Amino acid sequence: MEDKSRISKAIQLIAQLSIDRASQVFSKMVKCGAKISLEKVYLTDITKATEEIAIEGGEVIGAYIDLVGDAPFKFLITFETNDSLLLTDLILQRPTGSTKELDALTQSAVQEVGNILASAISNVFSSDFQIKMKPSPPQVVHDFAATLFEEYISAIAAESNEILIIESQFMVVRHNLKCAMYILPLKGSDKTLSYICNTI
Amino acid sequence: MNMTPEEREGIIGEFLAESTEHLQLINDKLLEAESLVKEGQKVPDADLDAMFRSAHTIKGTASFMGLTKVVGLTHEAETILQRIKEHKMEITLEAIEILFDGFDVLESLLNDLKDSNQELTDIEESVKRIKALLEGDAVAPVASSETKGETESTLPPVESTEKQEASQEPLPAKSVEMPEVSSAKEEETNISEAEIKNATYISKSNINEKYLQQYLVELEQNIEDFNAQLLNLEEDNSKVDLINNLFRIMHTIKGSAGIVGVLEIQSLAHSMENILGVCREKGKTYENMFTLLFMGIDVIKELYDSLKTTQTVNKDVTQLCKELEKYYKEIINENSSPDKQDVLVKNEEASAAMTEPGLSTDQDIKRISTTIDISQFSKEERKSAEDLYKEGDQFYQIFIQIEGSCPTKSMKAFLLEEHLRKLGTILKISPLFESISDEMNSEILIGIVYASKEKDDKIKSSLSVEGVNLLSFDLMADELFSSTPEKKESDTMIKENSKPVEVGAAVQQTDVGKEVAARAKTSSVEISTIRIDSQKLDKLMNLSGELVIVRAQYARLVTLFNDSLTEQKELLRILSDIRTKYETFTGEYKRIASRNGNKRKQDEKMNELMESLSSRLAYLEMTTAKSNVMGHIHTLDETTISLGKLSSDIQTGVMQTRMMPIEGVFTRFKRIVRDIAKQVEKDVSLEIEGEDTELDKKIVDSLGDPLTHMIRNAVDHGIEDPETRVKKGKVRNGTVYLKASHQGNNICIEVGDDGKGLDPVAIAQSALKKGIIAEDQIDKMTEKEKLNLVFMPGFSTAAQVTGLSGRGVGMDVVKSMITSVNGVVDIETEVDKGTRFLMKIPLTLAIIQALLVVVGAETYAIPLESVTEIIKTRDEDIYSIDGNDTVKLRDHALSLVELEKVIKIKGTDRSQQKELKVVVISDGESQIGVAVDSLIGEEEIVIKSLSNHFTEVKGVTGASILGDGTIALILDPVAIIQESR
Amino acid sequence: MSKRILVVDDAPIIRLMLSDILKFNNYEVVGEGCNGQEGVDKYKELKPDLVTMDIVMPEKDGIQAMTEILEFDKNAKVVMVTAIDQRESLMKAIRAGATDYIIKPFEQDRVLSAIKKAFGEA
Repeated sequence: MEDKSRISKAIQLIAQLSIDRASQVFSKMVKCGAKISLEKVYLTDITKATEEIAIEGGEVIGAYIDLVGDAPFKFLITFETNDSLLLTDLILQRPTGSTKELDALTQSAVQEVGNILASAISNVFSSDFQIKMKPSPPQVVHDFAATLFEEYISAIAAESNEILIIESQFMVVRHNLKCAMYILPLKGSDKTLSYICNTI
Repeated sequence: MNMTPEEREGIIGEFLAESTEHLQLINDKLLEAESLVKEGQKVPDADLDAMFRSAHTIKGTASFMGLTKVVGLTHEAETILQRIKEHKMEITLEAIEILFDGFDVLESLLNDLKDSNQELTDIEESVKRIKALLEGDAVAPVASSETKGETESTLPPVESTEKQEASQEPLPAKSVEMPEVSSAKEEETNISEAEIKNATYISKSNINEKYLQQYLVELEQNIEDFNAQLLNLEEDNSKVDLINNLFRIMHTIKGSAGIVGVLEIQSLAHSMENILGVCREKGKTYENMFTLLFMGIDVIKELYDSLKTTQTVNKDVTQLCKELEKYYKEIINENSSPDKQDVLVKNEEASAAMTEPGLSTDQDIKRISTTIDISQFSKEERKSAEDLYKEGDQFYQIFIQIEGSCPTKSMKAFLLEEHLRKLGTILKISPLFESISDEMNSEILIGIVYASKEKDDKIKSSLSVEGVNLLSFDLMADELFSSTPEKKESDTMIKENSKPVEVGAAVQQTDVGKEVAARAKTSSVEISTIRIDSQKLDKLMNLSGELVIVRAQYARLVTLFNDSLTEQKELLRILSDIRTKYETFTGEYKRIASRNGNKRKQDEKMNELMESLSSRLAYLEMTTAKSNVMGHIHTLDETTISLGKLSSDIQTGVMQTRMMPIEGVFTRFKRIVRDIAKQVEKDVSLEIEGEDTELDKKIVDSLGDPLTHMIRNAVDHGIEDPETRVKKGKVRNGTVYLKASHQGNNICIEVGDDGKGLDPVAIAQSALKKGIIAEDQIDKMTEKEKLNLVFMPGFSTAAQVTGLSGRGVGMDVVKSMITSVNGVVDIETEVDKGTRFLMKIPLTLAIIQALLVVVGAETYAIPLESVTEIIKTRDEDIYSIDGNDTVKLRDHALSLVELEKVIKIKGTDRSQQKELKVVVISDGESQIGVAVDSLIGEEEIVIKSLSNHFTEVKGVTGASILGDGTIALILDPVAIIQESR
Repeated sequence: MSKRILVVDDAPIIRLMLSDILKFNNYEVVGEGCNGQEGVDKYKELKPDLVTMDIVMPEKDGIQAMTEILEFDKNAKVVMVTAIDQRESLMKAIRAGATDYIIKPFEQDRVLSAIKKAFGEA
């Protein structure tokens, strides 16, 4: 963890709780255990962001969701294209290998996972910290990881030189399915988080 | 020391008073420490600090006064305390014993100073023992044999801790079913050993100071509630609704602890909550959980104490948490199925078993049904119901169950409410959706009283919702809602009659009023309360007292005015008389004038004059008679009476704000009795009566310690051990009882037992041995007087000074505490049958009825309560017995006494008086006649206590300001009677 | 005669899952909508016996759609299927007239139970 001193313990706590909940919900969706294989909360310079983030190159299918409310943030999950096929099978409880095409169905699997994870996280904020937030309809994208990411953080870039990133990766054990999840607090929300956490 | 004897006396007086207080504190703390050590628990640093500081203070002042023995002794004691504090030394029972002994000697020294202004008692022995202890080779097998089954004190401190804790009767270790816990206890032993060796525990908490105080106030209440309910539950395992309460309390403790940042309490509460959660879900209790839970709450109490005094946490609770967690896992895995373990979910809720519908017992239904009982409807609710009835609604009683596995139970409840609202009116619903917790996996039962015009089917289908089961749906008798509130009686009648037919089978409404009232006490009834700083109430009390004084002043004014009114009346009478005489005079004159012929001119002038004077007189008379003064005085009088009534009401009202039910003090005794009984291996139960008797908070607070002491005594000494009891032909189980009641203006509290009773002879002998009384006094004493010896300082008949009680500092402290609130205590006992202590404490601390008398040109007030009668005696009737003036009062002799001889006040020379006014006062037992110069009358007076400088004056308990501004000293009848002997 | 159900959700995969469950249990899925507006339109057109409705959707959210459907047919049975279990959102949906609700990710049994109960079956 870098620059820990500047990231309040509170934000780390929130991040951890959110990620925990997300992993539970995720496992429920795919109906088998999902492990968190990586979890980081850090501040980084915008220009270096893409380098820092542990993105393995290649095509991914991702879902963006904007969470709006007291502490707005951007949420992104990505799956490698092959994995998204597997994901669809798991969700639909079909034998693995059934889904062969990257069609609307597969995309919607990713989309729905994004929706549910983002909702779960906003539920955590709401129930545990009374920070009201709601997800907006997800946007599915299919692109190279790096590009995806550039777009993702460009919203912040306009406002500051540094961004706070909450990053985690899940691993569905039995099937070696990887999912990367990023939470990006938008301007104003880290202040809200800190304020609320520090007054608790 | 270069002081005058008077100065020295004065300072000694202060020193003694202060030191007595300190000594009392030390004794109390030592007692507590002793029982803690016996239970294998750590003595809080705060307590050690307090004891050290008290000893240190005594030493300091004593050194200033050159009291070498006091200094020497306290210094040694202080050293022990210091070492223990710094963890350089173990606080063993032996050490406590030595400390007790030392402080007893100290007390004896203080008494010496009080009585004879010298340090007489020898301190050699004590100092020797203390020094020996400090050097590590402990002496005095006396100490250890006195304490029950304890350590061999010859071992160095560290080991003795281990042995001590091992040879304790740690309750978990006894239970067969839980071998893990006893091993955990060993671990705990090791840890605590380490703890003691290392520096004091450093808390991991980051406490938010802002909220701490508020939190502590709430925490105190929660701890009390938890203890009470846990005890209840232990007694009666079937009271499963208590489990809910306990869970809820612990949940609250946990939540708040989290907010304030006290991690230690949070984790403890969390672990305890888990255990209670399992119980809640399974609807049952586990035998072994009580000990653990009691341990837990005790530690929480310790943490509370630590926070209160030092704002930090001084105890490491990780070990206890581990134990609790372990236990929790055990009970939770009783019935669990294997595959649940696979899921890598951190959420504990997921691991609990899913519940099936229909698990709610009839008892649950009964519980809810009492909450929605119609007879408990408020006026508004009744009115609405009536209105709906008139509109033609049907009334239903509905019971719904929300499945345990449903994740958003409160929202489901809300959903149901919404659906019902769309079709009708909900008259009563319990519980409200807001109060339903989503967290636990236990099903929720909801009871509803509902009114609607819709068809049954429609209503039922609106309740058809996923995760929800309809348990019962019954039509209620219309008549229940058609009657007016006054007809409540007939309501109950109708209900009972129509029971089998109309009301649902699940609901049994027997003896509605009593049961519901009883339930209402235990269920969560909303009462609106405010927390008030008791100092504010004290101020209010004071002010209401002042009001009484002001009223007295007004009354006096009225009297003064009445006096002048009387004068005025007299004036009027004289005036009237003058006028009459004048009229007569003028009449006479006219007659004479007419007889003497008509000298008109002079006559005219005379007539004019006479007329004028006559009319002047008439006018004067008229105006004087018509004067409004009378009217005003009358109004003033009436107003003063109203003022009096008002001030009396205010006084009562303020008094009542400070009144709280004695229950608060009583309930903790159940715990004490339980603990002690277990320790001394006796079978004792505590019965309580009249716990809702209310009394002033100050009194309640000051009663705690005396009652504790008496109860401890009763269990420890009074009740015999089971075998002895059986041998005596008694029941094996001994009973200690506590009774409280109102009697007139007093509170009567009884502490009694059916134990071995007190033997006056034995007591007298023991007192003799202790040098409290002399041999020749014994014969003169009545049985009652012998019994009252237990209240003398330095007394104890216990063959075994068990350390629990009977230290010889107990009962006298009890008595003084009771007298300090103007109460009296009496003993009734019968050997082998039992003992009763009866305490009578006046309700109003500050305002009493008194008889005002004048003695030696000063006014005094005698509490009317103690005045039996007032007599006049003539010189001839007084004769002398034993050097005392006596007079015959009906058929017995009444000793007479002059106040000046008894208490140091100015007297009167009565040698010339032929007749003596005597006020007969009594202390409940004996009577005495006090000669007074004159009687003023009965008055309600406000007691103003005298500052500490005056406490030594025997016979005076306070002062009061009278209506005319004079100050009357209030006499103490008990002291006067005592001193006259 | 099977009961007719309309499924509205913006994620095809969810629509698929729900349809599968419903069809498997002898309910007829008469149509699908992928956003709030479609949901309303299709309801008016098809007049199903029940509609399942997501909350978070583009074009029109589920609560708005439900309100309009209820204006159209006050006896409409609308079962919300949503990922949000926050109190305010649920209360809003309930107040707006939801017949019942299911939280995503859902279990088959729960979905079925909700549908059955909405129809007053079992």
